[in-house]
Amino acid sequence: MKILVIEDDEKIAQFICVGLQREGHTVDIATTGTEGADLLAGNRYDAAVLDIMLPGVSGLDILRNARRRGDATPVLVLSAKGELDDRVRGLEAGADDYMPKPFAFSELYARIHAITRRASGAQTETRLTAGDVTLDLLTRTCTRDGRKIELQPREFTLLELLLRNVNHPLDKTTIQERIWGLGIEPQTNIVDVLVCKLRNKIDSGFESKRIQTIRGVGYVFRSEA
Amino acid sequence: MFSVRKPKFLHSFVFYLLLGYLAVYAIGTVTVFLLTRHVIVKSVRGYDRQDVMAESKDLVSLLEQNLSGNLLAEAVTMKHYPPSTIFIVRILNKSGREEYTMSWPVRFALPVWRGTEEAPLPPEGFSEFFIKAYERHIQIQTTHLKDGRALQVGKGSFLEVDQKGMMLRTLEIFAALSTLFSVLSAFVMLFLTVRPIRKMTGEMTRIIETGEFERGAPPVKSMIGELDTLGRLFNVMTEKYANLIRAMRQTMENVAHDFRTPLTRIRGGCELALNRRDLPEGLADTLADVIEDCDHAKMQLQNLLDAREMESGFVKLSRETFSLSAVLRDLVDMYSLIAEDKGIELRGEFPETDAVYCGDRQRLTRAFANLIDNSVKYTPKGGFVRVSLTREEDGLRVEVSDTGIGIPEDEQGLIWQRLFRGKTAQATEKGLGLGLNIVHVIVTAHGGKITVRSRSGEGTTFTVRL
Repeated sequence: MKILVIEDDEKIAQFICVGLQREGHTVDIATTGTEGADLLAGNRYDAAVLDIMLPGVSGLDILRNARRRGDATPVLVLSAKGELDDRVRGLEAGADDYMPKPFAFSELYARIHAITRRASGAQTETRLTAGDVTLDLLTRTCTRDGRKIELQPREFTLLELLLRNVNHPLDKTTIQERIWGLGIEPQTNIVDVLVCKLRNKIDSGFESKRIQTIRGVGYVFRSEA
Repeated sequence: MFSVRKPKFLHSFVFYLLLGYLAVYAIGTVTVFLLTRHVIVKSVRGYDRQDVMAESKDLVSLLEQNLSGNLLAEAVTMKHYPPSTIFIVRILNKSGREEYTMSWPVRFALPVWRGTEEAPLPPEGFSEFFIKAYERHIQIQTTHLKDGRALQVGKGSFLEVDQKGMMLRTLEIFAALSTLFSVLSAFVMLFLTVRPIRKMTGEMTRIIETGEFERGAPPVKSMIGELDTLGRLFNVMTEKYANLIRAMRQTMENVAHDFRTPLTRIRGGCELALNRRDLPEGLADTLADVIEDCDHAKMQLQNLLDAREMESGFVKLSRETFSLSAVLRDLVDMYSLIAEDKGIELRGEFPETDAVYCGDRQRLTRAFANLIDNSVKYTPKGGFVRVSLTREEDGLRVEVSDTGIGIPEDEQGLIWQRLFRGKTAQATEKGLGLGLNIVHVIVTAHGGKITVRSRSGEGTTFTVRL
């Protein structure tokens, strides 16, 4: 994917860029509003990460202009203010998603992934497979190495989420938000408990551990152990 | 926060105004009535006395010519008086006995006229009697004749009765008109005075209830000088206040921004480093620690900003209509994982149909999450946490009760304070002491009430009424 990052803080822009490149994406960086607007207007991107507070043209103005031109590039808005107002204004201006700073890269990545997938149309997969684990979305059954595994509804949702982001770590906030969507910060170790339960069912009795914890980052489902 | 009550009609300015006007008009009407009656009675008496005087003069000159009583009767003609007029003539002899009486109407009799016994002659001049049966005054003139007799002529005019009837009718019309005028003028005054006041109270209510200070208030104008000044001062005040709040929010946003940017950098840098495969031993743990601290700092920052804003009493709520029971059900579902892990039973009891509420969804979710989180946290293994929602006449009631460690009685009044942590709680779990304070602020900002019932060692029940 080709992704545009418009962010005036060079260090933040840099780590987003490195992170995305490591995942195999092409990244363009703009550190001012005008530069970003020009890049967005002159190229085709699969997604854009846009900071609201920018020198020159404000992020929201860039977004509004792009939408007025008919540009449908999926846009993820970043804000350091973290106020609810910014979220509303961002979405009203045409953003596909919004994230307050500071954020986890894994969350940013998961969100970019989600908005580009949404933009590319409805999902048609009825079966997710990674390594020897298969999840049938229609019959809602899970097998590993041909052995059927009984899952609770929440465990199923978590596994589906992990499988959709195979080999990409997901942070706790993203997981909690995707499963319950309550819009609150994780308060207790809920996600840990859920992951632990799922791990017990998926990995117990197997040599290779699929669900791994990356401390400080989150959880990841490895297709290759 | 504050609940704004509308004044009851019986205590409203309009009511007092109306009452005042009615009283003034009533007193006015009665006064005018009494005055007019006085004037009419006086003028009627004047007319009657003139008539009586003229009649007396005629009769005296007749009597001085030594005419007998019969001739007198003939001489007295009353044709020129209407039949409703009372007219009396009598002559008293020297010893005061009645010598001749003639009255119109014929059967008319007055107790004082009837004396046949001796009595001193009444003095000369006018006297007045009120006859109740005829409801009128009679003017009597006594004239002493040269031969020692006395002539009395009396007349009571129909005019008085007539005028009285007219007066009453006028009074009725006057009373009706004055009532109408008092109501009308009350409304005019209402328009002039109460409208700007209502506008101001309306604006204040809006500001207090929504916390939207920045918008300022539309100008309040009035034709009444004092109110106009008040309105202008009110506008200046709200404008100043709006500027202050705007500046305060701006400052807070700037502070938040200034902290969030470096936090983002630190976190991002660590994450990036953490993804490298050739990390020296122990470094991964250190990086992970830094990331966790960043997250902790971020949450602290958010909590402080929230608490600061909420404590100012003017929380900007973004209200929407949502199903509170669905939110609670999700929360129970989410926390049941932890409860199960801890060996606690967490149960939700909700009505069959969705209980809808209009409020700040995210903040309320957070408030109830805090309550449930607390209950689960402070309930030991084998305990029981129950979340229930019931509809009440004036809103919704949410109860979160547990069989946890409870809150000692002397601490129950303090739990809503910021940064307060109970002694038992401190010994059991780590925390910041922001949780219940935020719950309290969120609930009261919605105009709701939260109460706690607890016994140390037996459990706690939080009741939220929205």
